Amino acid sequence: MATFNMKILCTTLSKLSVNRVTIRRNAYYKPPKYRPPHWFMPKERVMSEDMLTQENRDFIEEIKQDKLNSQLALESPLAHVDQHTVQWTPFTRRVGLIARKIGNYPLWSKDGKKFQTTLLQVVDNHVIKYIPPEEFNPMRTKKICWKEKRTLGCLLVGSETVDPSTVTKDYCGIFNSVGMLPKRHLFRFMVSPNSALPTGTPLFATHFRVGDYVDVRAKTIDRGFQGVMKRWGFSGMPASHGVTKTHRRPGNIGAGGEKARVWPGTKMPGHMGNRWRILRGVKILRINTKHNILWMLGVGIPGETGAVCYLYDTVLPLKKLKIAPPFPTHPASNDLPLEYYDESIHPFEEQTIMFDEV
Amino acid sequence: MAEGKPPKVICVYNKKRIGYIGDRVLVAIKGQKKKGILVGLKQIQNVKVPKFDSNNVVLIDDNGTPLGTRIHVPIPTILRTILKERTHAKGADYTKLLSIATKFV
Amino acid sequence: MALVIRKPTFDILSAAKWMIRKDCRALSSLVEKTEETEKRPVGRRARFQNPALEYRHIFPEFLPDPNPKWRNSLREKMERADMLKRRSQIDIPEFYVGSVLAVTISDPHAQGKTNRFVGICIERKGCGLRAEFTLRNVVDHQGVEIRYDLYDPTIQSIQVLRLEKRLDDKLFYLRDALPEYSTFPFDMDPEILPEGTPVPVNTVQVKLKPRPWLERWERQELKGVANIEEHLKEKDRIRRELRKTPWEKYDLMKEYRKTIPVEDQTEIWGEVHNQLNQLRLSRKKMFKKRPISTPKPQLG
Repeated sequence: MATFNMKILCTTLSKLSVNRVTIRRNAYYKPPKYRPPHWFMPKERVMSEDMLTQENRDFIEEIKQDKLNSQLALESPLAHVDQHTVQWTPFTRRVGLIARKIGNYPLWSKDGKKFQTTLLQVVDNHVIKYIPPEEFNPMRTKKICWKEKRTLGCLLVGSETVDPSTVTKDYCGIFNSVGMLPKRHLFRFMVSPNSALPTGTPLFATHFRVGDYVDVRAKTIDRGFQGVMKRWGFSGMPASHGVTKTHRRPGNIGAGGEKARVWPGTKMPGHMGNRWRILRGVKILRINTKHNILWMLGVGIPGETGAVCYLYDTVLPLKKLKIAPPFPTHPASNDLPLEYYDESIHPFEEQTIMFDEV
Repeated sequence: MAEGKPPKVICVYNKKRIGYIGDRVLVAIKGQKKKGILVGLKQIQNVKVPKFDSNNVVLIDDNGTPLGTRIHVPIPTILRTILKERTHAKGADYTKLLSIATKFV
Repeated sequence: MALVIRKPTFDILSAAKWMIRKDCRALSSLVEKTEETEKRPVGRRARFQNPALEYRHIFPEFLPDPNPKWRNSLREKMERADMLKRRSQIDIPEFYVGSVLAVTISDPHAQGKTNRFVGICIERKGCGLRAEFTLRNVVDHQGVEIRYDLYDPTIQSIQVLRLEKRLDDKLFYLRDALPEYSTFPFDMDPEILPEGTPVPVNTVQVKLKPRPWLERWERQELKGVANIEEHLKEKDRIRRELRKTPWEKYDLMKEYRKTIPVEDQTEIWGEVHNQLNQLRLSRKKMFKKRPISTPKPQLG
């Protein structure tokens, strides 16, 4: 009898153990199969004191400088290869850019209208690696598998070279395997196989032209836990007329009867911002070739000043590229004009706008 | 305007129901209802558009002909373009208002 | 005072550094007024010796917004370059809140495609290319205010008719004042100050119309209003006392957040000093060549 009781106790206790975490899984919810792509490695490293002598420190610094210099001395692989024989068609997808949002200021058009613009700086972009469509095996998060996705290759682009000792060994390995120094930001662009680029190709702001439309993907400003008035724009309730303690609350969230539950998707308080969002069809008004700055029309680009955003040719059917852009990318050259202006924009160094009498 | 109640805009003929410069309005004046055009506003305006110390209305009839013969306040020049756009070939002609204006700013 | 925090290493006891500290203190807006009174007898030319002291009043829009969330050195640099490019096309003179200006713009709506407006500057705000100013005048017994962008390429000319300052930073109370205080004729002649004189401060105190007012002027500690007390009731005086915030002048952190640090200012003025100086010299040449004539008013 005692042994039987003991057995029951053991089984109940084993069920209570911390190791067995029950994963919620039912008809409505299935956790995603999380398998990150092979180039996605943890980047942040715990910094610790290495207890090195000053000589060793100097030696490491020297090696770093040597590596950086050799990296800077690298020529663009496109310089010697003559231009691709493959022509651009409206169905090819080109590589994009990684840029940083640096602020807003107005530009004026030639008919005297003011346009607010957002400035994006393209810093030190290099092609890291090309994975052809056959080898590219992305993570499956949905049941639907688009067949045409298999026709696109994956191009890794990095931006902003960092000190290799500040990132993890695994992350460095991605770059070491192709002979580059690690970059702070690494992003994947899906490209057509004929627009693939060799490793180490620098990308500039002139990859896009003035007047083109691009899509911008970035993280929105993190606003933390917010109520419904700020998060969803509810109007709240009156300040007076006998209203007590419900000035900024949502009010009713549903009906009774059969529907006596909270419907999925009800707008409620919660975390606002810090989501990936894409702003499609943003026009480029001006390009500076020296500092690689793009002036984009509008102030709707997600993120605060200093946020990183990803640019690529727009997918909107009416705003798609019609004339062949620099393909596969614009080669590095020193004899470009300093600034490109859209034809509607008034450059500041030109004469005051005058209107002709009709 | 000196005698009686001050005139009052009681309706704005646009979708937003908020009067902007050049909008057609219904005015209660001297116990009657008259149509009018907003020619100057107290609200904050765009750059280069004048903001006035009072809200100004020019009374018109249904054809757009002003009821008075003179306008004593300055008229914003942007009204010239706005009223030309609002005038249709067969509808009311609001541009008659501009010809009796004494001063543009 | 704000600089005490920023530069804690300064040795207050040493006399030489005391002088430097005094110089730096002048850059924070806190003790500005006392410095101003000290400098006035010295004359205008002498003040050009330290460009930072002079330029931050003449060209306030060259200093960026002090909010650290919006600052970016490269964007500020590009913005300043664009401002200088615009300044090379049009002469944007030195003016202050309280100066009387005449602005001519190209206006597609006007009959002659140009539009001229004269008025007193009641407000200056914004940094960089966003800088704007507001002019006020009374035309045909009707108060008119127009806001202009300082770097708008449709502005053909900005002419200073009377260069002076007022006792307050913003003159919104002119909206509630008697109309003669903001009436300026459109054919006003420009008053030319002799070279080297400081910018005069007009100490006129305006008279307000009886209430109702647009704002509660009695709570704003205005210096340019004469008869504010006679319109007040006992209730307003009590409310004013309750709303006073006398501790704010001791809030060093607030002062720090509103100002650009001295190191940044010296960098900015060092960058633009040469070009601004050249523009000033070329303006002087143009001024001497220009025939003396008064601009005709354009009526409609």
